[in-house]
Amino acid sequence: MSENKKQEKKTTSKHYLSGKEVRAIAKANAKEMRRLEKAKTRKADPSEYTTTMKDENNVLEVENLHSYFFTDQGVVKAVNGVSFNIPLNSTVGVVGESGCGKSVTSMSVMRLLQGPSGQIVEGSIRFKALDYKRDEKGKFIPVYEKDEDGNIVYEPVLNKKGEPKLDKAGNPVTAPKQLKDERGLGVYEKEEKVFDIAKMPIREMYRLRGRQMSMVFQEPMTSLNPVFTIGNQLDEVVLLHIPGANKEFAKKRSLEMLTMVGIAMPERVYASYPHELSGGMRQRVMIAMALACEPHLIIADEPTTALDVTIQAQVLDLFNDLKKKINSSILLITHDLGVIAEMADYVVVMYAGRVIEQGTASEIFHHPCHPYTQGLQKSKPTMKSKDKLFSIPGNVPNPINMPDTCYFKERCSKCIGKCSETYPGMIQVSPTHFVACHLYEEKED
Amino acid sequence: MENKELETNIPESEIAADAAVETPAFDDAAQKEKEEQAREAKIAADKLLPPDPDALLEVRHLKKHFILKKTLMGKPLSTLKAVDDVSFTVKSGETLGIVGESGCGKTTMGRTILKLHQPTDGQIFFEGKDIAGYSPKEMRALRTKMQIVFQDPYSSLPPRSTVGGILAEPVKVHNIVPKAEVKDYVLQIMEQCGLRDYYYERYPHEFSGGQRQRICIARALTVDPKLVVCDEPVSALDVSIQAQIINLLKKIQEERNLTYLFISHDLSVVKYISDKIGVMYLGSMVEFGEKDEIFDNPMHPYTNALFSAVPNPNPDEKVQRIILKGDIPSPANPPMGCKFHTRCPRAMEICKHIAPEYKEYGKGHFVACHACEQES
Amino acid sequence: MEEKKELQIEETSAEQTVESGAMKQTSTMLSTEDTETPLDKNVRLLSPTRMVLRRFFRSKLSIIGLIMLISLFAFCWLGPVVYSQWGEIETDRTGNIDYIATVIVGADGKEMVQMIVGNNGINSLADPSSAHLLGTDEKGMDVFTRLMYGGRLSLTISFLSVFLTSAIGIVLGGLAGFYGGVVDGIIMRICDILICLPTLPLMLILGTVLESNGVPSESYIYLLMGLLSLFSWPGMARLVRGQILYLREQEYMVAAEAMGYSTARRIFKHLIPNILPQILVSMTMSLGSMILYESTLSYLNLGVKIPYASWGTMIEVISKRSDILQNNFNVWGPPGICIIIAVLGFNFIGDGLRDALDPKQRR
Repeated sequence: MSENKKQEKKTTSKHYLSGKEVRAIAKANAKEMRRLEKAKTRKADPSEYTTTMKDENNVLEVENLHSYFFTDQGVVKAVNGVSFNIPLNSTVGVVGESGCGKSVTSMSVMRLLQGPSGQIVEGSIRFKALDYKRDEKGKFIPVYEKDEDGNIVYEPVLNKKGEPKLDKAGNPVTAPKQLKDERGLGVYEKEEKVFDIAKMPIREMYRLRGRQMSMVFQEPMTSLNPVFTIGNQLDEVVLLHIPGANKEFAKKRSLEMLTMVGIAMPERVYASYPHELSGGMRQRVMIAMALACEPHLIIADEPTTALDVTIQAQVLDLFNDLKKKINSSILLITHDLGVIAEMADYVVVMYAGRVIEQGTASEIFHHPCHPYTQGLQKSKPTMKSKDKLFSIPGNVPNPINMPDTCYFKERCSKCIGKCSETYPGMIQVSPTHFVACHLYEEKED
Repeated sequence: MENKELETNIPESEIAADAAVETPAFDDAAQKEKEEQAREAKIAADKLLPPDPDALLEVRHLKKHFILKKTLMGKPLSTLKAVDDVSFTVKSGETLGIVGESGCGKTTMGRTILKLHQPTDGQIFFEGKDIAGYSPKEMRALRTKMQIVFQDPYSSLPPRSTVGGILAEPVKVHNIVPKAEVKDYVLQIMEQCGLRDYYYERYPHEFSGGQRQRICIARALTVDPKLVVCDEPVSALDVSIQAQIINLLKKIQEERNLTYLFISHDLSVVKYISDKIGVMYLGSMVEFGEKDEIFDNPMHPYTNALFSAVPNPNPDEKVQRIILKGDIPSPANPPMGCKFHTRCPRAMEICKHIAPEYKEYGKGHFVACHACEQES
Repeated sequence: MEEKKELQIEETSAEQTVESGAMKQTSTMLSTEDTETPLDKNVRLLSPTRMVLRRFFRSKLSIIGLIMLISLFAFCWLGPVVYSQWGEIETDRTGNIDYIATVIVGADGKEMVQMIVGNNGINSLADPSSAHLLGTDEKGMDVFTRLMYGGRLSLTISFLSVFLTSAIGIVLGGLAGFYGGVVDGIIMRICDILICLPTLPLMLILGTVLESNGVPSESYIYLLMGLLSLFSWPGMARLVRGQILYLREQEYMVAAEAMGYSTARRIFKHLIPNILPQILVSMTMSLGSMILYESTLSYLNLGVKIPYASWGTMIEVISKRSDILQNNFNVWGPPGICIIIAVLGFNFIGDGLRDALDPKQRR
């Protein structure tokens, strides 16, 4: 009995971290976190974080992204060297199980990781934005109307009564006339800029969030502020991000967006509070909010997971509709292969913080190469499957102190000797199809 | 809790209904009353029938109403009919799958059958005995025969006891085996559920969702039950883990001849595991029958829509799907007549006024729909 | 460190090969068997106790609080053992005996010297010296010694009343939360009523009643604090009720019911251990306020009676003699500082415990 107990104690102490180790981890973490937090708030010259795209057809290029969480148990490499591109006007789906780092990737792109423990450590996220040009004071530069000769047109300035304003000498005051677009809003100069989001100081992110890229969250129940009406919240987005917008315009725009996402009575929804709406309706509102400023990139983080099947079908249908109407790319994050198949053009499969396979949707679904992707597809019972379910044994590994071998080898049925030696690199199977698995190396040679 | 949320929602359908032109009042009030009376008479008549001798579990006209508001005197002002007149039978060793969307009362039904909620009305025959009227004390002895596995493996394990403690407690309380053999017995069940013996000393927070769900299943098995209510046991799990748990449940069923009441919103999972399927909508069973019968020949429009809403994992095959408009109405204020008529693509005038009868079409295939009635 | 890690990896990989062999065996036997991989070998977790301790000791404030309290307890209980020169109610009579000698002529014509003893040799209001570390009070008792004895009394009383309050609060709050309905209604209404009562005036009245009924003065403070506990349980009861209402919805409580456990078992084995952290935190916090209450009562001359010492009584002298307030900080300052240390210490520890036991509540 006593021997038994001793043994138990021994295993326990081996399983748990000792106080000394914990202190060492905490010390190393604190140092690293301080350094990264400083980098986040530093003053940086814009040239430090503007770059060029590798491929002009992409909206977003993620290259070798590392996002870590510094915890008491050790460094969690939630995203460990992820690279993928999002081409213009396409939908890229990221699939993976919980803990594979798909949400952390999206949070990294929005720079919403919760500091100080969550940090982007390495890599670059290049994002092509149509940013407003600014003068030295940081104000937007308006575009002025020009006559045929190319001279700027001046118009008299009116005072409050609507009469022309006069200066001291009695001459009317004039100002350059700003060009108006079809919606009656002043036009400002814009320029295409490529930002490296990973290197941007956090306070510069307001230029991009909401205006250039926006996000739809998983939980429609908690992602709307309960004390403001839907109208208030939608208007706020418009007022904040579209320069020159007034309340009237904002309301018009909000109603337009609500109609666009298929809400039958936009006026009524506009005036209601979030708690009066059902989950599906709220998710529509969230999508309307994300679309309000015509962003280049919409990140949808599990947009249908919290919804019922029939409502999910509605929302997916809506997304598919919108894809044709709007001029932006979608980064869709989900664990549901069915949703990905319905929506995505390109698919990125993630496992334990790394991309293990990527390619077009039909490549991934008809010719999955990585044993994990194959297993994932077979383990989901479909409406047609009848025989026994295939299941991948084991669990998703916790990405602390991962050995430098294939992360999937313990659960893999096709494991070969090489798998426990090195982590496989990305191998090209077809022009658009890449896989990280040793099985395909010989074929390449 | 789920229900409370729904209560405050304005479903899209209601909003839309406001705009619609007022329909002329249904003049056949007398006919409606007659129907109601006939229904009540049938319920009363059914009450006297003896229990089905083949069935392990037989549920007859089960009702569970929650009182939301009361007057000062304690009279109910508004009630939420979470389960409203549900009947079915399950034979020993079978799996009955219950599908439906959130708020349709499937969870409440599962818990009412286990008497975790006191049923408002109806009969629950378990092994031929009506347990609906049993007191908590009488139920305590029966608990060893019926068990439950919950959806959320995180909140269903007490955080401050070890796995061994959690699993050994019911064995000790119900004196399943002599005290000296408890640990061996528990270890044997753990092995059956794919848990290593050294987990015995560990705490639940060290485990991932799949392993926790295995612990939950092991806990249900410790008392050697006959019926296990699986309340969305795989919904909170990852796809690859889901398959493990489903296979585990199937394996255990074969080994122990268990009967499952498998509640889920995931049609493909239900289809995979069940022998019989019941489709619920707003507290009522709208369709019930053998699995193949339901999937090959779905009769209720809701079942049809539900099947077609499941995303197709083939990106090149675009199916034309039936998309239901609107949301589920609030169960606290369900629509008149057939509860589904607000979203039904085949709704007729009669659907708005008279609830369809839950009738048998073909062997063991029950449907509650006016459209089916007219066709047959 | 590096070497250690490598070793670990080697070990684990050896284990894995063994296991994968076993896996193959079982899979050949039961071709479709699922085998669980064991707990992540590359991750080592903190044990539950260590997790709490670690979070507790991470906060500097809780360490400071702990040090403050430990030294205070050591001072009060070990102090009199080490420094036993003076007793609690021992008067220092080493002072000068003052005589007022007057010569009076008696009736018989003899002269007599009448001597009136002025000070009786009491060394009162002495300055701090080696004989009296903190001087003496107006009755010539050693302040330092009284500080230690007073601390014993103050701390004991606050602990007793907090335990009493918590006991009542847990039982009534538990009943209200678990049974709900009418029971809940009645208990919560009693709570509301009790919270409405002004405690201090009530204590003043009760003090007078006790005095006029001839209750011995030593037991005064115990009675009063007992009564105070009877008035202050609603806070604890509400906390417990709230926690139970929350926990009752948790699925493991439903599971316990489905398992057929008796009500008593469900309450005492499943509910109480899970609300214990919150109770502990709240108890620690209220210890501080109880010390303050005791001092207040003693200051109002309702509590511990002179010559017995408590921190409140020791300060009380300044209400009668303003010259002490002005000139003799050494008499009333130290007990005041002790009260501050005790209250702060308890609150720091309470905060630290709350953060450690319930990480979700942290900022």
